[in-house]
Amino acid sequence: MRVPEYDAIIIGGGSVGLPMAYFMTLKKWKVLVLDGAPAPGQGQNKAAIGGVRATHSDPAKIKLCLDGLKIFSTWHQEHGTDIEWLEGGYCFPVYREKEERILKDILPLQKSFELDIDWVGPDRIRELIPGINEKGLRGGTFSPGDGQVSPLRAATEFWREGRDRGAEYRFNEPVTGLSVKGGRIRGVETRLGRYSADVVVNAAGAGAREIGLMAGIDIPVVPESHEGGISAPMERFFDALIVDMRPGPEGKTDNFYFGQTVNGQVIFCYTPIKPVTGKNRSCTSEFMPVIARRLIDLIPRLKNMLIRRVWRGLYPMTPDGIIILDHVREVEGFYLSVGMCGQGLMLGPGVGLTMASFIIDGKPLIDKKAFDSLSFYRDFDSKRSEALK
Amino acid sequence: MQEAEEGMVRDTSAECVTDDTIICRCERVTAGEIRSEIRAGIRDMNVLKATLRTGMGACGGKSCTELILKLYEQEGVDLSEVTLPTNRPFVSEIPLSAFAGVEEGGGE
Amino acid sequence: MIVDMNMQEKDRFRITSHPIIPVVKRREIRFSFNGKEMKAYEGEAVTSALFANGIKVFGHHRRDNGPQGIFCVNGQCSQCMVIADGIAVKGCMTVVKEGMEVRSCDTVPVLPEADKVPGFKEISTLDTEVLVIGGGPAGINAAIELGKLGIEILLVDDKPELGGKLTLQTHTFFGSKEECYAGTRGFDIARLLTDTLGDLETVTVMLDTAAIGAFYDGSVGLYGKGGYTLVRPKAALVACGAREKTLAFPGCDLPGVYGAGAFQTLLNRDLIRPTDKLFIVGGGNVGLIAGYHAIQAGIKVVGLVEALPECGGYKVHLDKLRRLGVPVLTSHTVIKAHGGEHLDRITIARLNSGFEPVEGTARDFEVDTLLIAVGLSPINELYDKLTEFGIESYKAGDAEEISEASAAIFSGKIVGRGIARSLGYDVEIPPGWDATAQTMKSKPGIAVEYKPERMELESYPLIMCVEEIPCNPCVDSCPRQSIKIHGDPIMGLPVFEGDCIACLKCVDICPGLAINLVKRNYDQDRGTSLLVIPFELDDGDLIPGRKVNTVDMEGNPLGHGSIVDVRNPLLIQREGLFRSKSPMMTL
Repeated sequence: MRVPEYDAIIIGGGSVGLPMAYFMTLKKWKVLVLDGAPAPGQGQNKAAIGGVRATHSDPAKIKLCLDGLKIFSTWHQEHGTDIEWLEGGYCFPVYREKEERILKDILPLQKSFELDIDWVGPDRIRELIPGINEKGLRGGTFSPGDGQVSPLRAATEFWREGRDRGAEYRFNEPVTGLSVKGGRIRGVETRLGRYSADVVVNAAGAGAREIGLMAGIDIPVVPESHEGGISAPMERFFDALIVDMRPGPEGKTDNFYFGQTVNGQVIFCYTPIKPVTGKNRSCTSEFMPVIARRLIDLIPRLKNMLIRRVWRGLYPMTPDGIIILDHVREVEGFYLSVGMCGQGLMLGPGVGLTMASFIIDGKPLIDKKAFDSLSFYRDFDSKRSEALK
Repeated sequence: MQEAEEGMVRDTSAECVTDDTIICRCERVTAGEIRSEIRAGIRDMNVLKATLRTGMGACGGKSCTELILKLYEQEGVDLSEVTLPTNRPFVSEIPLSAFAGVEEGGGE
Repeated sequence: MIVDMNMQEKDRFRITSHPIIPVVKRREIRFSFNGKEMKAYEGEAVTSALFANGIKVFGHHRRDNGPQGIFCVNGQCSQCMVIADGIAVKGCMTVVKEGMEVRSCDTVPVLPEADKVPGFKEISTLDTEVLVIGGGPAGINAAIELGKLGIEILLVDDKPELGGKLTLQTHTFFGSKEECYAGTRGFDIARLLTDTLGDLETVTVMLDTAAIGAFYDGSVGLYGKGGYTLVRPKAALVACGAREKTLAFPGCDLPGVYGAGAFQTLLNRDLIRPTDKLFIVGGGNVGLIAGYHAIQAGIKVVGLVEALPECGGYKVHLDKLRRLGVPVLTSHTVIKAHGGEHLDRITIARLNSGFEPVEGTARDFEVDTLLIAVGLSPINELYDKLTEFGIESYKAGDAEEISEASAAIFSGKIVGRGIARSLGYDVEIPPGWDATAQTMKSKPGIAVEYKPERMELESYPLIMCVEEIPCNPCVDSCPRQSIKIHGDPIMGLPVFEGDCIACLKCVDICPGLAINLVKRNYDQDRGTSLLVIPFELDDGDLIPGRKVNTVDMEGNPLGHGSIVDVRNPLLIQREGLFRSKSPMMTL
């Protein structure tokens, strides 16, 4: 049984853990990443739709995602590898007064963070989304700086870059225990042995709660499952990631969203009105018939696109829908970067960057107020909810 | 002498499969590209899907998966180390309209 | 067979007469390919319609402009994608219609602008007791067993007719007569089975319908002519058969390189003659039979290579090819396929014991068609998912284990009854069935030397069956009960014991065409004997009186004779004395 020594052990080699490991290596730390899946990003990262936006209403998320956008959009220049970044923006087409009000109300806040976002009229929406259903179209918001990326490729590239800088990764090796002595973390245990470090980060996504319990810490992260699908490639005809905030007439869907990837595949997902908690990753027969109607109603010409694959992934949800970035007071050296609520892909690089700074240099990169709002010790029941999730 | 079996692929050596041989027909991925990833340590075929798009095409890996496993063998990798691609619906592609019960001839 | 040089261009790729398959007249329709108007026959697949018009390159791949043609013609490989009336489809699974506009899929398809919101309909859902996925020999037989008990079955098949690969098989079947129709031609078996199924009231058949996914909630998604349907079965049988394996070598992706099964589909189902000459990789039954089918359709088989030191298929199939002059090279393989837009040449080489090509043995052949017959893989993706989701699931036929159709027929019967029992029906599985099923799956035994028997009789059969395979229709065919199998009743080698009345029933029934008949003192004046051989090729050249060269069962020259008559079967007059060793002749 090996007992190697590391500056940090990151539990979870996915959307959050991989960027974090990379940023830690930039600060010359010796890092070990552990994951139960066979390869990087094979947890929930690969189930992500790929959308990356800074267009939120929560200040912390806005900042973290702005950092993420910068990292994704300059990746190819910086590293020479392709993560299929597409800077097509996000577009929220609006058909009801309700959504128009919500979106217009948060514009001032978003602009105060210098987000490039505006309300545009129906003509502009039609330009952005050829073939969109014009009946009742009131306009919408468009934020050209947002975009989409390939989750699989981003994960693989973060892994490679970290590996090239000396980070170690052990896959097929889930963490089975945490070693805590005298209120300090000492390391982790797996079926193959013990690994010691004074810093252990919980970036375990859907498995965050189980990891916390290994140190006697109860983290309120509960996975909810969502189904997604993708089409065969076709000629690209829209660049934005489209979000239709309306609940569906069938009474099953809340919002739904979709984009067209760099190679022309339309990738789509909906948020069920009734959340499905649990870790079930098997596809149901309900998904496609429901989302087909929503897609075709919004953009009728999509009816002829061929559907290639469907899947089901997990959103690690917190009670208030806000992520948790913090250190655990009860166990010194134990950090949390969990509860991404289905936005792990877009938050990952920003979270990785700020946590590396927080852990290694003592302070996060985003401002204190924003960072503190993500504390593990906040009141999760305060019913603080985002205007725009 | 090996017994010939109906289901057995007649092996050809690595030499016969040149680097420019197309292995994944749907995405036009060559043996050389795949060997490169194998030599870089990739053992999960789901990662190959991400980096090379093998198995992400129209046929869903029906034609190429076995050939890629053969390449792994030729590179000296024990197949027990290799993770097979995840099996998900659908077995073949169908138009979105079918799922919505779109009436024939409508919507033109 | 002589190619009629006056044949019209339009018929060049169509088979207008065939020694076995009836050529039925079909209605001609018009369609277009890339704007050019062409003719097709109603009901045929787009790929066949294109081939019939000499189009073998359907488009080019968006990534590197590589030319695209067919490979499997079975809905598996997605190589034959074309745009049909604006929608990207698999050409092999799409029926050509009057006025259809077919286009190459050179870049990614463009979504047609259809901007009116259509009306939606609810997806239909049905419940059934047993869902049988696949209507080939295994699936149909399982459905028959279940249907006879009045169990509610839904049988789906993605092709326009039932029978699976039986519909492509022009040769007569092996196995045993009672249990699996030995001695009957494959496509006739398909028709018999379909008719039997049609009489069963609780069996519903959905053709042109594929099972495309299994879901957590225990339903299965079907897609076909009737749109998308969800079925909730109590039990499911996966009997989808097999898909052809591909072989990797430079140029393997060129149009012109495709599966032997694809070739048989074009040839025997759609009566398309894609080429005048071809080469085959693979000496299992699939490759050997494909070669024979090619010759039946007037296509020259330039050669067949097999990487192993011996062909794995039945000796009787191999011998048929040898007798017809096809060079069969074992320990050889294709190492390169050449061509720009289409295959035009191949290079083969000998392999050493490590399967590496031996330097200096490379040889080229100019052919535009290379059939790949290197093995089959079970199609059973749905089985694992169905089981995972709690539906009682079964596999039968090639979907379970690659074997012969006779084994699949048996497998379907056994599994069908097994499903019935698990659903609580009181039905027996006869104790001998399992053993017989295993026998049907047997690989060939060793080949022994042929020794003709009882050559002192006036007439006697030459039963040139020297390799143990599961096959015995000759035994029942003899009205004098003179053909016996000692040892295992299906695997054992037949021997001639008793008398012979020259009824020719055994000559006719042997699926391997391995039985001839001799009438010793046929022409007393000339001192010649009569040899009767089975013949399944075009008989246009065979004029009575014509002299022919004769060969032994493996194709080695043996002398000559002259044709006496051509009927069903053919009669030959041989000159010279019979040698006691090997007086075997065929044409």
